[in-house]
Amino acid sequence: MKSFNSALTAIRRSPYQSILSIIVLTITFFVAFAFSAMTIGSQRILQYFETQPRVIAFFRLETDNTIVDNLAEDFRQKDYVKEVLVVDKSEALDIYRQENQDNPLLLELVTEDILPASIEISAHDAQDLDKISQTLRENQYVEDVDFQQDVMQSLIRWTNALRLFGLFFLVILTTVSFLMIMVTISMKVSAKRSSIKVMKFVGASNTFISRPYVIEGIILALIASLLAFAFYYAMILYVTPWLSDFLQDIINFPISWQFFAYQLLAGLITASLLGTFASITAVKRMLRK
Amino acid sequence: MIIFSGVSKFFGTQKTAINHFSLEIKDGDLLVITGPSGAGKTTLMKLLIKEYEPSEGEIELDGEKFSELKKSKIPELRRKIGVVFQDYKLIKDMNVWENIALPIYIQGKRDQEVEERVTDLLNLVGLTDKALLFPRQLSGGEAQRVSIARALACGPKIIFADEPTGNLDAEASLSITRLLKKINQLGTTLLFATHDNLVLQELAKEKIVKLEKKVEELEKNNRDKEEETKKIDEIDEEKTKENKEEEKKKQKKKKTKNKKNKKEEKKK
Repeated sequence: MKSFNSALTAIRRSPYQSILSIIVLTITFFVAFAFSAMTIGSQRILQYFETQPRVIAFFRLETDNTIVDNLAEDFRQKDYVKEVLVVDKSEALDIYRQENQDNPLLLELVTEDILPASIEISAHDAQDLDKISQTLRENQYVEDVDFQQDVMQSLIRWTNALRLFGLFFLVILTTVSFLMIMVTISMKVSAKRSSIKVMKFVGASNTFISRPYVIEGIILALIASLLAFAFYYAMILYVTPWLSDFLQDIINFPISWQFFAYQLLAGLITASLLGTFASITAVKRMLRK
Repeated sequence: MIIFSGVSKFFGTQKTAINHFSLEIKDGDLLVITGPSGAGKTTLMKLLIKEYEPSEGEIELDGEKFSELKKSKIPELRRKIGVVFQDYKLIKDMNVWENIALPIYIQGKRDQEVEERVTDLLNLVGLTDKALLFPRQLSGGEAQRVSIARALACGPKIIFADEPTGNLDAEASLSITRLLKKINQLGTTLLFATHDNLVLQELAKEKIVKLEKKVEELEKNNRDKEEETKKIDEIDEEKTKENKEEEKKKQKKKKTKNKKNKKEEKKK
């Protein structure tokens, strides 16, 4: 019997067991797809919030614009710096005017000379902001550096904890999927113990006996993965209008088809690997008994 | 050629199955192995397919010593020996065609080759019209024919039929025996283990091997039992003698009492 046909026959001849396994695996893969999207999405959201804080350095009033520009250029050269924004005296006055346009008295009193030039620096990684603020403090033309270190540290702690929790959850889900396939295949092998004994009597090697079960495990996992992806994709389409309102400026909607293609491919590869390893483990365990 | 030299199989500390069994079987032989139930016929089959390891002695097949055979080579060995079981051992989930095709697929043959071989075998055992039936839909005789076809599927050099008629009626038993004889005439070595008198009559002209050790044990057991029964009989005889004597005494006492009573009555 060709192993693939044999595996399909086994699925067809024990349909309830196969359907049950597919349902449970579909739920697992659905959660895995949704969770992976959530992890990637939350990563983007966290990155957005992490890069929002900036270090703002105010220069002394007498500082020349070329010094400010040179310092800004120095920072632009650094790998860990994401963006450098220079606000010179005239721009500072414009901002001041815009913010106080309802109060003509304040506008009359303030001129360009009393407003300091400033520089706003954001980093790719929030942990580098501390380093940037230190460098700025050491600069002789810088009068004051505005950087809320406590808030930053707290944000970093939270994001790290969330990432760790996500990783832990993903490991748990993978283990559950692995055990699910293993239990299903073990049950099937156990139910066919007498047939396996006969196969051994007629000269079947362990590889010949286990091949259909391994293929069956892969087929079950692949079907479950495809079904789970279909449900997940339908769910994403359904919630896209709400998500695009909620996450505007952070994530661009609609999500590109490449993202879904990568996710489907990753799902299918994971399903094949899970199916293979889980069924091999199950068959080896049962053949040893 | 199969050579059993001084093969013994112990289970635990008791000598139960086979003790110092030696035999040479040439290619194309038909050998009837007989003996009562539990004499070790199935053990012999399991030793031959290396399901059991001999406790003592050596088995050789075509010059290859079983003790030197690696575990990974066992499937290959089993493909050289077709086994027909008393309880058929057909795979329930597979139909007749699939059951017969299984050993050929195990050998890794192509679909066309499998189809040709299975068709030939179905013709040989006369079950062409039952190819798509499942084992539960077959009679005992038909199931045994499928089992024989499966044993032949690999084109083995040897067939070990372990009580193949054990679950069959007389007519089916004779039919299966003749089929196996026919297979032997085509050149396959046949080891036919049976204690069915009808089959033994049919194969009376063939070489017959009795698993003597077990028979001796049985005889010994019978002798022991006879001795025990003799002893019991002797004890019983002694008891009956004693009882008779007691009865005689009682009768004498009664007689004397009766005499005394009569004398007293006369006096009165």
